Amino acid sequence: MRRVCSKVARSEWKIALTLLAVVLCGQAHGGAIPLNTFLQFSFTDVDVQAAGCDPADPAGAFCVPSSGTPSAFLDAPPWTFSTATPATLQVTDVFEAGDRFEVFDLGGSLGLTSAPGVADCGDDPAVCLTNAAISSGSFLLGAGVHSLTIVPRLVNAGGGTGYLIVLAQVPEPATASLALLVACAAAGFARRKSAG
Amino acid sequence: MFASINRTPFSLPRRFLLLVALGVVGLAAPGSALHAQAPSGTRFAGPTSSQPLALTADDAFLVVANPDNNSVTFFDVRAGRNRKLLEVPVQKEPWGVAFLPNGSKAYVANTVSGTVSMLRTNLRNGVIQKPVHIKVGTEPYALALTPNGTRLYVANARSNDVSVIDTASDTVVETIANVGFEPRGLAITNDGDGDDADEVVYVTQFLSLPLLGKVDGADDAKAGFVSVVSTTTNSVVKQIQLNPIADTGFKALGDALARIPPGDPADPANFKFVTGAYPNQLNNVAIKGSFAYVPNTGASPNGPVRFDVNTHSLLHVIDRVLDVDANKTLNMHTAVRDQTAQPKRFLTMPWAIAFKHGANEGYVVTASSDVLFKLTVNPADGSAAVQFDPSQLPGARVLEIAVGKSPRGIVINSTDTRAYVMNYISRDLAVVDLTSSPEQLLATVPSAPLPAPGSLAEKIHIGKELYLTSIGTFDPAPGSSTPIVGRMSNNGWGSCATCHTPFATSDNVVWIFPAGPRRSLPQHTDFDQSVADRSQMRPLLWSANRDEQEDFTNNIRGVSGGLGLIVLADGVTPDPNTVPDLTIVNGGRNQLKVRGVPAWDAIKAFVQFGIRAPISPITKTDPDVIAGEALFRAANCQACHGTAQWTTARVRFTPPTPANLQSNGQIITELRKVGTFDAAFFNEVRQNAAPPLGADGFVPPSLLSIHAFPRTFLHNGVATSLDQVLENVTHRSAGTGGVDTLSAAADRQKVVKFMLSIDAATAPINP
Repeated sequence: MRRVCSKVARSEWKIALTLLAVVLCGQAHGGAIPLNTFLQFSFTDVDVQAAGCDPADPAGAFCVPSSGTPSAFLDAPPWTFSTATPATLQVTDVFEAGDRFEVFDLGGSLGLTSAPGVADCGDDPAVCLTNAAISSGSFLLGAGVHSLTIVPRLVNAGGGTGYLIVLAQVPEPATASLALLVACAAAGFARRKSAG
Repeated sequence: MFASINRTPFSLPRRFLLLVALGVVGLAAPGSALHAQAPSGTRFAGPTSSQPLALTADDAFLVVANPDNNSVTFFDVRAGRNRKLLEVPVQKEPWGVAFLPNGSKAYVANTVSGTVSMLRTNLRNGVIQKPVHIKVGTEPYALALTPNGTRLYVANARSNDVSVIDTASDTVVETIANVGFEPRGLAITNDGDGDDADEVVYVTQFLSLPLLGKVDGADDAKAGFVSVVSTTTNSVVKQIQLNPIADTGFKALGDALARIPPGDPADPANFKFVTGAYPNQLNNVAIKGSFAYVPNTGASPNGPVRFDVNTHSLLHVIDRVLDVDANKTLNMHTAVRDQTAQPKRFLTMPWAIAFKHGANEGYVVTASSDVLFKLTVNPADGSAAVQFDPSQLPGARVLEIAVGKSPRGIVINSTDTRAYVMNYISRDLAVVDLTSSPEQLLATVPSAPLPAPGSLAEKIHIGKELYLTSIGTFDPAPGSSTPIVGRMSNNGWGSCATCHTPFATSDNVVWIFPAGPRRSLPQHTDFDQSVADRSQMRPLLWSANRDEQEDFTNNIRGVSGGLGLIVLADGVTPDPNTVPDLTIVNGGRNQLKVRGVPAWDAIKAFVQFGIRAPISPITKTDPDVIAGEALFRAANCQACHGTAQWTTARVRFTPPTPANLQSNGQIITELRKVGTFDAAFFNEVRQNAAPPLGADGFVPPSLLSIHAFPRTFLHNGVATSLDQVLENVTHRSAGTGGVDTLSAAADRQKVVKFMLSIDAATAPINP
């Protein structure tokens, strides 16, 4: 344990504790989002941050769910999670083309989803991801804690709904990294105490 | 495949590139984004009509009310998908719904909440925004949009007015008073132009009202009324009177009001007395060409009351050029009477109607006999005819399409290829193919969940189902796998609801019954709703000659012509030993079952827990109401009309009624003689033409929500106002030992206002 923790540079402790705080804050409104699952969000207008879907997010709109690939509603943003390894975030519009999103992680923009064409891909996010006319994007995420928000930049009149999915390259419970951090903190504290 | 921007967090050069990209596509500045075009369809294809389901103008999406689930369900009906998209909660007891022509907003009338919910929708994009609730009148029930969707008309069933909502601002811009009593149905013309301020709104009044010089109990005592509203002025421009019909096409055994006793029913020649009927329960209206059509349940109250001479399935026709009764009224039951094939299913409780856009054909749904049937109309004179099944021999069978349990609404798409039906009890949507011959049911799609099996809610729901149906489908008898069907009435003629309305209150008709003239009692007053287990029941009927709900198995037999629900040990044979008097216990007997629940137990549970009192539009803080309550107390009216049940009469024993409490078949201790019985009055006669009960007094009627039953009061309907009721000095002095504390007319008016304010929210006054 000591050898593992020694790899955590002292300068990175502040970042790690900050990320831990983000995760804990995220858990206060519903917990970390699950990985490898299509998660649905709603939006109303351009430049208005997307919300989850009612009833998971009481402030969100009512979303027509996928009738194909299983999915779940997102709760209130930001949507937090952590991964021990790099992961891929995919974001896609569903139903009618015309919507486009900017994706943020920890307040920083990851970029825009693709420019929309003209299509109606239906309600299944897996199907919509394969449709070039539907706006979607794929973003690589580093290992660690993440806090996502989405802001639509193009919106069909009346709003809409979309999906995100975090594909963990090596599936691992998010709690593992947290446990590592906590264990390191405990070990460090014990070492410092014994040294003192 | 997509414009991937693969990056790791916090990469500043990438963020810079992103900002550049945003600038290039012109999206960086808030509010500069492009909006896609709104869905097509900006005007409805024809006139609109209030329904519990609504289509977008392009036939793509449907919204359906779920009154018992406090929700609405959206369906995608494009290209025959018939897919339930989403059930969305609204407020309490949603009934009327409407969709803007382009589908961008849905409106829902929440009857108990007194609001209209507006939901922005983009169903093509999978989303429905949170509702905004617009305060309207008391018990909003029906909604109808103008052809271009700029104005929404809201019928407020208890405040007796119509709210007009501007759909651009979603605010109430007008409240139209004087639309008549209990507005329930709306229809709006469509002249095809872009101006919605040049249309006409037809507003049905649910209950009929007495005609001057007539006496209730007679078949021509009342008339139905439809108000005509101009969208130019948003005011009532006319009241159309829908007249009684002189001949229903069904003959009676006698004529009670003429004091002619019934002959022997075994001799067909004795069925020789022509019966009439007046329109009642006007729930809906639809426009076709130069005419408007009002399906209703006509009342033929003169005795003897029998299954085919009590209520009728009427269709009144309005001449829209003159805005008068076109005198083309059709008794739709006669088509079933004339069909040659057996068995027959009468068209009971015609509740909603819709017409094709490109043909002179329409369809009616029946709330009690669970079918949709077809009409053709003559565009020249407005006359209508029920259609027979073209796949059978001519005249063999009326075309009846079983659509679900208690259908309450129907819409037809703009191309006349599909009809959609909302089924209230089965909580589903029926899709009917109108292109086939005969038309046929294509699909049934669940709209809202049914109560959990084994729950009290399920028991109440089964009770409601039985209360509403004129057929009834029951569990098979032991050893059989065939459901028992059709015990509620003779050939589906009648249901509890035909006289108590689908709201389980009262049709306010005075029937010439075996005991004498008796106004239907509203059943929200049967049990004291302040008692958690609803164990407190008033004596039933005006003369307290029933002490159990189950005693009405004899009404199923005698009035509706059914076999009833109490059976022998074999589980199927009707038990003959169910005499409707106070000496036999009918509760707890062997009963038919529905999904394992004893049928009468379920009906009783529905009456106990499932009926709500109508909400009064009069505020409790009105100074006249407060003053009237004080005068009410001072006159000790609560001695007879107190408690949360607003009647002090009770069944104070476990049936049967002890012999010492009985007299002349009545629970004599619960009757009060207050000067309301005049044996010499014209309608004081039994259905067998003998003198009526009444000399011993009557059960004090409940005052709970008495505001909902207008212009016909007391057991025989002789009083046409509450003021007139209080003009009776004996009556108004009954609580004070004959001392008249209400001699001043102004005081009596305050008492009346207090009484009209009484509903479930009024603090009870105990004796």
